[in-house]
Amino acid sequence: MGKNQAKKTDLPLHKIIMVGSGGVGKSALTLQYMYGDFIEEYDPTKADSYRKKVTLDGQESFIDILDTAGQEEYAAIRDNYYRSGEGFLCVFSLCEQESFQHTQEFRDQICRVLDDEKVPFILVGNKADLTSDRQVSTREGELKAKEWGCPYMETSAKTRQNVDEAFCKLMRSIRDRKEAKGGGKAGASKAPKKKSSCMLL
Amino acid sequence: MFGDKAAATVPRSRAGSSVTPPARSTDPRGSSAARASPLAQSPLTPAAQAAASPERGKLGGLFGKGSDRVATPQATAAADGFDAEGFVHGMLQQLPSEDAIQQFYNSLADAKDLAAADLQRNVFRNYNDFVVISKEISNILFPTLRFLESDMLYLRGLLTELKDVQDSLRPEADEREETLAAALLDDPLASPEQKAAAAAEALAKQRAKEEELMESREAQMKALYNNIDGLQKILSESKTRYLVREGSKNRYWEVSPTTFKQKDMVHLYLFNDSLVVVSWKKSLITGKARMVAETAWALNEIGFIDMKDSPDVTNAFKIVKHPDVSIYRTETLEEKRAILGAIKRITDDILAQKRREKEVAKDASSKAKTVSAPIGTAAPEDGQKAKEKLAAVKDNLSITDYRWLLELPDELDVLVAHRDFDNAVANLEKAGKILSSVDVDTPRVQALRTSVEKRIETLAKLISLDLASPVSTKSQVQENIDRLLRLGLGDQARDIFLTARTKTVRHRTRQLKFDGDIAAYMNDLAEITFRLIRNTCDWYGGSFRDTTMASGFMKWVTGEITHFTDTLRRQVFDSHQRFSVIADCLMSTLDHCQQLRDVGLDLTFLLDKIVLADIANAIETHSQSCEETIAAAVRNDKFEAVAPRTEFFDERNLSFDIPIPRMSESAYQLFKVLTDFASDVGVLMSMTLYNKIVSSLSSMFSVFINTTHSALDKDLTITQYCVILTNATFVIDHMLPKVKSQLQEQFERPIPELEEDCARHKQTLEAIRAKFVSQCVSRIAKLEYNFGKVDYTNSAAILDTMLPTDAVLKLVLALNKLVADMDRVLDRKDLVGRVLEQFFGNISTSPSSWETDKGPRKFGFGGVQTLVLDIHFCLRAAEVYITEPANEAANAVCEKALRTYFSQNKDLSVPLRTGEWYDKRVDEAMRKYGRNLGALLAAQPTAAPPQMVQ
Repeated sequence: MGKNQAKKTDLPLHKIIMVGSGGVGKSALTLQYMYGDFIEEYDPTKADSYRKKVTLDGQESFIDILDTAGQEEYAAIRDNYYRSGEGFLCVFSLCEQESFQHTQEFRDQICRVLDDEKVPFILVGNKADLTSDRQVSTREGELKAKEWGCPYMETSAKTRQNVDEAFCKLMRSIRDRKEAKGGGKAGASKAPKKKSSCMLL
Repeated sequence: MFGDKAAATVPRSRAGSSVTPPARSTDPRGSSAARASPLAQSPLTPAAQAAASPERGKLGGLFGKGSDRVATPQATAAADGFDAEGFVHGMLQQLPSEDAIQQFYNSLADAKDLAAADLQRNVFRNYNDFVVISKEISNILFPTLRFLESDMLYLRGLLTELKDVQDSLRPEADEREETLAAALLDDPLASPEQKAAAAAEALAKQRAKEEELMESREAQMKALYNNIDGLQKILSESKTRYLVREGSKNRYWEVSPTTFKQKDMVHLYLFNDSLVVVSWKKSLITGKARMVAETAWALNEIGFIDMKDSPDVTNAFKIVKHPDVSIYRTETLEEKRAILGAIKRITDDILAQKRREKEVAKDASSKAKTVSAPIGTAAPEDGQKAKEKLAAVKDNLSITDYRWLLELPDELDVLVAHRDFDNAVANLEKAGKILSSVDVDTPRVQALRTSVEKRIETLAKLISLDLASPVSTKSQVQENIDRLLRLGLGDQARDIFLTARTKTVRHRTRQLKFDGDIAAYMNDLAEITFRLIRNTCDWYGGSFRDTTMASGFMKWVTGEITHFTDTLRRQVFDSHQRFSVIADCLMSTLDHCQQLRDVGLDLTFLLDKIVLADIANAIETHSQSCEETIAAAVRNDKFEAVAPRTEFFDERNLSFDIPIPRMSESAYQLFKVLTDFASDVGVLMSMTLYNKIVSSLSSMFSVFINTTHSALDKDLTITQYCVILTNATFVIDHMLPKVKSQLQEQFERPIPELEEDCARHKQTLEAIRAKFVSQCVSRIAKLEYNFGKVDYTNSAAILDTMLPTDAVLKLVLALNKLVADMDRVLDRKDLVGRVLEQFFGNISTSPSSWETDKGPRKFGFGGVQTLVLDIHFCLRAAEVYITEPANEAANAVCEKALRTYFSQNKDLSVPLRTGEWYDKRVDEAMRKYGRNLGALLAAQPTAAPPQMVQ
C-alpha cells in the first residue's frame, strides 16, 4: 500500500454526489455502477460513500461516489455533504412524477450551497425499464435539463442501461472543468499579486 | 434497537417491584396493569417470528424491519387482540379484597418475569437458528454475498450492543409504567380521588426517577471531565448532555483522507448531542499515558458517511463538517455498524425532537391565532383554518439558512455602517431568495421576513439619498440604481433617479447667464436640456433594462421637453423676437435635439407639435413684415438698372439658366427678403408648416408684382419702364419657377398653390407688358415724334439730297435707345414691334394727327414726300422689329397723308418721287445716321428693304 501511495494520490479524484428523492434508485445506480449488481430491496440510505479506480478516456482516475439520503428529514444535513461535491448526479424516477418535481429543489439547494450554477450536473431519469408505469416523458426531462443547461439521460439500474454512460459523462465534465479552472488559475494568479503591492502604499 | 426492548423486560420486574410500595390500594392496580401485558403475549415472540421466517425475503431487508418490530412489543400484543386494560379492569372488579389484589399483583409480576425469561430464551434460540440458516443461505442462495454478510454483522453488532444500552433503556421502561398510570387516569370508572392520587403518584415517581437518572448522568459526566484532559475546553458543560456510548472500550483509528494511511488510535465518545474524539498521549513528566480530548463535534453540524470497503481502506466511515473531512476506521465491520447505528439513532432522536418542538410552537401559535380570530366565524371554517395553521407551522427552512437569517440584521447593520452597500444588497438578495423558497408562512419565517423588509427599507433610504445626489458619476448612479433594482425597488429607483435628473436640469438652467442675447441663451438652454436628457437616457437604458420601465422614462422626457418649450415660448415667441432670432433659437433647439438620436430617441416631432402654433404665428407676422418691406422697396425704387450682381446670387446659391438681367434695387430687395425668409423658415420646413410657408411666399410675390405693376403708372422715363418690366419679367418668369421647384424638392411634392400663382402672374405680366408698351408709345409720341406737330406743309419741290426730318430721326434714336435699354431677358422684337404697331396705329387713328383747329391738316408737295421718306426711313431703321400690323399701320399713315394731299391739291399734276428715289435717300440717311443706331440695327440682317406701298 505504501509503495503505491505516491502513485495513487497522483491520480485525479472525481467526487460525485448522488441526489434525488427517496426511493428513486440512487443506491441501485451506484451499486450497479460499482459492483455490477442490481439490488431489488429498498433500504433507505443515510449516507454511503464508495470509491473505485476507473479508466476515463484512457486515463486512470478515482471516482468517489457519495450516495446520500433522499428522505425529506435529512434535507438539513445535505448542505454539509454538498459542499464536498464536484459533480452531481440528480436522479428521479421516471415512474414517479413527484420525484421529478423534487429535482428542482435539489438543484436549487446545490446551486445555493455551492453558489455555482455551472457545477457539473446531470439529470438522470431512472427505472427506464418499467415502461408501463412511466409518468415522466423524455421531453419533460429534456426540457428541464435544457433549462438547467445540463445533460439528460434515462437509465435503468436493473438492466444497466446508460448507467456507465451517465457516470462517465459526469466525470468528463468534472475533469474538463478542473482542467479549465486549473489553466485559468495559473494565468490569473500573477495579476492580483502585482495589484496588492500597490495596496501597501 | 431490537435487542433493547427484549432486554428491557428483565430489569423491569426488579425495578417495578422494588419501587412500588404495596400499601396503597390504587397503586398496585396501576402496576399490575403494567405487568399484565406479558401474560398475553403469544408463545412466539416477535423476535422469534422475525428470525423464524427467513423465507420472506432477503435477510438485509428482513432484519432491518425485524428490529423495528421487536421494538414495539406492546403493539404486537395489541395486534394479537389482547386488551390489557380490559383484562386488568375485569380482574380488579372480580377481586374482593385488598389481599386478593395484592395476590393478583404478585401473580402478574411472576408471570411477567416468566415471560421475560421466555422472551430472552426465544431471542437467543432464534438467534442461533438464524445464524445457521443465514450461513446456509449465504453459501447457497445469494450472489450478493457481501451485503448478506454485512447485514449479519450488523445484526450481531446490534446484539452485542444490548448490554451497552441497558442503562439508557431503563428510563424508557419506566416510562411504560407511567403510560399505564396515565391510562388509569383516563379510566372513566376510576373515582376522582383515585385519579388524583394516581397522577400525584406518577408524578412523584417520575420526578424521583428523573432525579436519579440526572444524578447518575452527572456523575458520569463528572468522571469523564476528570479522566479526559482538555475535555472541559472543547465541550462546555451542559445539564442536558449525557453520555450515550462509552468509548474507552472500542478502538478506532484515524485515517488520512488523502492517503488513507492509518494514523493514531482514538476513542469515540458519543453524547446525546455531540461526538468527542479522545486520544492517548504520554505525559512528558510522569511518562504515563493519559486520555486527551482532541475534537468535539455537535451532532447537528456533522454528517456521517458510511465508506464502503475499497482496496484503500476497510471498515471506515467519514465525518464531514465542511470543509473538514475526517476518516476513522474500526477493527471490525460490526463495530462500525454499531457506532453508525448508535449515531443514526441519536440523530433520528434529535430530528424527532425538533419536529416535536415545532409541533409545540405550532400549537401555541394556532392557539394564539384562534383566540385572536373573531368569535363570529363559523365552526367548520375554524376547523379549516386550524388545519391550515397546523400545516403552516412546518416550513422547509434549513437550519443553516435559519441561522444565517437570524444573524443577518446585525451583519447588515455593520455593512451599512461601512457603506458596503453591495454586500448588503447581495445579502438581502440571498435572504429574499431563501425566504421566497420557503413554502409556508410560519411565525419564525414571518418574523424573519419583517426584519429583512425593515433592513431593505433602511438600505433603500440610504441608497436613494446617494442616488439623488447631483454630483455622483455615471458609474455611481448606475451602481445605486442596480442596488435598488436588486432590492426589487425598480419603481422607486426610477422615480428618485428621474427626479434627481430633473433637479439637475433645473439647477444647470439657473446657472445660465442671461445677458439679453436670446439666441445664445436659448442655444445654451437647449444644449443643457437635451444633453442632460441624452445622458439620462444613456444611464437609464444602461440600468433599467426592463422594458416596462420605458414608458416612465418617456413620460419624464416629455415633461422635460415641455418645460423647455415653455421657456422657449416665453422667451422667444411671447416677447415677439425678430424672426431671425426665432429661427436661430429653433435651429439650435433642433440641432441639440438631434443628439437624442444617438441614444435612439427622435423627438423632433414632439418639438414640432408643441411649438407649431407659435411658429405658424411667427411666420405669419414675419411674412407680413416681409411684404411691407417689399412694397416699400418697390415704392422707393428709382428703377435705375444696376449691373447684374452675380455675387449676390452666388452667395445665396441661386443659379439661373439665363444670364442675370439688369434689374433695379427693389428686385434685389425682393430676392434678399425671399432668401432670408427661406433660410429662416427653411429650418422649420415640415409638412405641418407647408401651407403657411407656401402662402407666405405666394403673397410676397403678389405684393411685389402688384406694386411693380402699379409703378408703371408713374411718370417715368422709358429707361425706367424698361427696368420695371425687366424686374417683373425676371421675377415672374424665372424667380417664381425657381422658388417653386426648390419648394417642390423640399416638400417632395408638387406645389399646386404656386403653379396657380405662376399662371396668374403670367397674365399679370402680360398686362404689365401692355401697359409698358402703351406707356412707351405715349412717351415717344409726346416727347420724340409728335406727328401732329411735325411740319409737312412744304409745298415746294423736294430736293434730291433730301434727308429724313429731325423729328423722325429723334423717333428712330428713341427707338434705338429703347432697344438698348431693354434687357435681353425681354422679348425686344415683340415689344418694340408692338410699340411701333401701336405708335403708327395711334398716328393713323388719332384725330389730332389729321385735324387742326382750322380744319383738316395741310400737306404740301414737298411735305408729303418728306413724310413718306420719314416713315420709310423709320421702317427701314427699325426693320427687324417691324411686324406685319406695324407695317400696315405705317402704310396706313402714308396712305392717309397722300390721300389728304391729293384731295387738297387736285390740280397739281407734278408727279411724286418714286420708290427707288426713296430707297436711295433712305440708304443715304442710313449711311449718315447708321452708326448712331447700333442697338436698333444690331439684329438687322442684310435683308432687302421693305416694300414701299404706293
